[in-house]
Amino acid sequence: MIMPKMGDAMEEGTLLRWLKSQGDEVEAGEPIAEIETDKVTMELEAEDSGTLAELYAEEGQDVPVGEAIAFIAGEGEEVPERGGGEEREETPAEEGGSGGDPEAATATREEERPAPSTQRTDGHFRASPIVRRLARENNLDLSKIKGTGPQGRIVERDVRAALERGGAEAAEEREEAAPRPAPAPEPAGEPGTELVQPSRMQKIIGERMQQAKREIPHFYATIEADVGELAQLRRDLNERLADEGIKLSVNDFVMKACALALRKFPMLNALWTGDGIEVHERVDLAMAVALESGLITPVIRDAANKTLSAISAEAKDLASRARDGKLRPEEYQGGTFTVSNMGMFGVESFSAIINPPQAAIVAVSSIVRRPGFDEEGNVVPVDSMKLTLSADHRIVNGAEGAQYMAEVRRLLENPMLLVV
Amino acid sequence: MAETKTYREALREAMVHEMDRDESVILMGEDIGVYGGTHLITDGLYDKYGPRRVIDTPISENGFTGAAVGMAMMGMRPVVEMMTWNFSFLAADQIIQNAAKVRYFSGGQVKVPLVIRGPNGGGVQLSAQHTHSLESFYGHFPGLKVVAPVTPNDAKGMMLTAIRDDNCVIFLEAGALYGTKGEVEEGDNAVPFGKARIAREGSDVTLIAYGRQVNLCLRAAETLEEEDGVDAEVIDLRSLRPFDEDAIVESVKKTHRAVAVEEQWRWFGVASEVAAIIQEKAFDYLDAPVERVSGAETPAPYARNLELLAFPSEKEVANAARWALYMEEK
Repeated sequence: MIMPKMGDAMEEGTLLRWLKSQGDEVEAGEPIAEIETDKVTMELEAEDSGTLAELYAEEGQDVPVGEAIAFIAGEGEEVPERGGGEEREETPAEEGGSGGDPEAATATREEERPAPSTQRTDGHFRASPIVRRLARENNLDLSKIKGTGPQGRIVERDVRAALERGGAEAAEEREEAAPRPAPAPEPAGEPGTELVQPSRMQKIIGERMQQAKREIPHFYATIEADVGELAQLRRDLNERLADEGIKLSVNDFVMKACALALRKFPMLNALWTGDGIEVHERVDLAMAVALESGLITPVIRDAANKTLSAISAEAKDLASRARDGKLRPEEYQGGTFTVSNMGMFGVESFSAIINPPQAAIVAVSSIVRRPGFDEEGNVVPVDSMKLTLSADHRIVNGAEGAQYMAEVRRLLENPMLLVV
Repeated sequence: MAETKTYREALREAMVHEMDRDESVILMGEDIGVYGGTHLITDGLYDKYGPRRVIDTPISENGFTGAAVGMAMMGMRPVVEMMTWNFSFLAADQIIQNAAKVRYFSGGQVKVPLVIRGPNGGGVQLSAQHTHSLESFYGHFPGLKVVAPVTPNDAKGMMLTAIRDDNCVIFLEAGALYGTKGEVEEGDNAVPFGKARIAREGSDVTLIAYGRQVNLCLRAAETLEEEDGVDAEVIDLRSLRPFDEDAIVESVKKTHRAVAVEEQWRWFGVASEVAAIIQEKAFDYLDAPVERVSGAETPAPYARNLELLAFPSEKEVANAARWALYMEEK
């Protein structure tokens, strides 16, 4: 019996559990073990009837595809000599455990099993002495490093390069140690389906967002603000400013509130860099603009010090040029904080993915009129808006995020503060 | 203060310095007196110090070396010239059995302050019977000190140290370099034994040599820098016994790669010793096997072209460095 290949991407399977013991009689088609692959856990059925004469793999052991895991002996058939075939020689787990004291054999197998590694080795590879010392000192797994010396010898430059890649490598290793994500499924190709290639922009956004979700420990804090006064103020202002061609949106107020509140909580106006957390004094506020081909975040520089009308004018200009694809790179790069508004689509609540390397993003939902209570306890209609903060927990802690959102609510509920 | 002098002059200057300072220092050898020495090292000294201190000997290496051992035992400080080191085989019994062992035999009561000097190695078309490198041969015997300076300054400084040493010193001169010039410090510039010289600082590979091969290594280092951007360190061992292990180990800890170069035959040689010490003491710092560059395993040819082939070349040293750096495959 060998480890079957149960999918193109499968390289090895884990023998979870033996369902039969050594010496048991088995029928062809009878399940003898449970195998776990990247995708499924399934029962492995006996190929032939006979005696389960020898178990080569331990429970919990990873076995490469094609390696023997057991031997089913037919009538009068002998268990073959160990270490005979080439395949066998490559299997470290097989070296111990031929007959003799079963406990001793198990111990040997345990010892000889190499450390988990993506690259199969017999634990013997070429590495120069200094490489072995560096590996020892830096806790490096040499089996993961490709040697460029003679006959693949791992030499100093290889390990130095690996150490320089450092962070990235370590991240990869962690990823490898963790359960691997299932490969993307094959298209069904059924009638009525169409295969559309993601645009380059979609791909990049996808990668960045995937990276953000994977690497940034997000936490979320949602507040609900009563924006009745704000809506009233907006109507008044727009009426009076109509002649000047100024029309403020709700989002302009929200952006101003978010920017102003950052003055009190500078840690949210920060970037996660390789050298440390870069805290910015000036708020360069990025605003998410949906495009047909994806999403872009043009930046309003120094938003906290700009008037509502200035923010409004700049936001309109940036958004329209973004839709026309006419932004210059410096206009959508270098933001320190992002506001994403889906209120215009009637979304009642959502949370956004942080735009790295920024520390936080605020997701703005629609204004919903719903019953609330006034100071006397009467049920009154309330114009309510939900805002959700997504923050990087490496930079900001929960209380700080909550206090920031409380300040945003205070500003939104006292909109005159946004005008002064 | 330093002055430019030839290797030959530097040696002579050291002997004069010691003869002036210490009356027990005398010179012995074939043709070293009236004739001034086959290699003109002792030129003019006969006139200066007379026949009692600059002694012409018959062609009788075992005899006059034995006499020198006796003189040294009795408190003189003889400096014996071998016309070439090949001829010392005739005196090997005196050198190995007596000079090297008397101090040990006598429990330290009798010292043998004897210097035996002469041109070592080849490069000047003197053929197989005059072109022998004896560093491994004499380096093998406890009780003997073996040194091989390559610069005129070291030739003088190490000769001063050799004459003052209470043990028998085998002073291997770079015979092919007698005419080469270099800065020589004035006065007493005694160079201690057992201290290697960093002839060139570098960070990528260590070239270890002694005698005239040091110059070869320096040229190879220049080539490596020009052609490959490789920064080679060159260590001049100077003294083979005592031997500066620390200098080698420290350098290899820095560069992680080493090439040991010698003019003599490879088997059981100095380069082997260097390689062994590196693997014993700097194993964890190596990134490549230690390379050896040695002379061809043949008696030295007389013909110029063949002689050049028989001894290490700059190209061979540079190539060995490239192997050690994994820049080229062997």
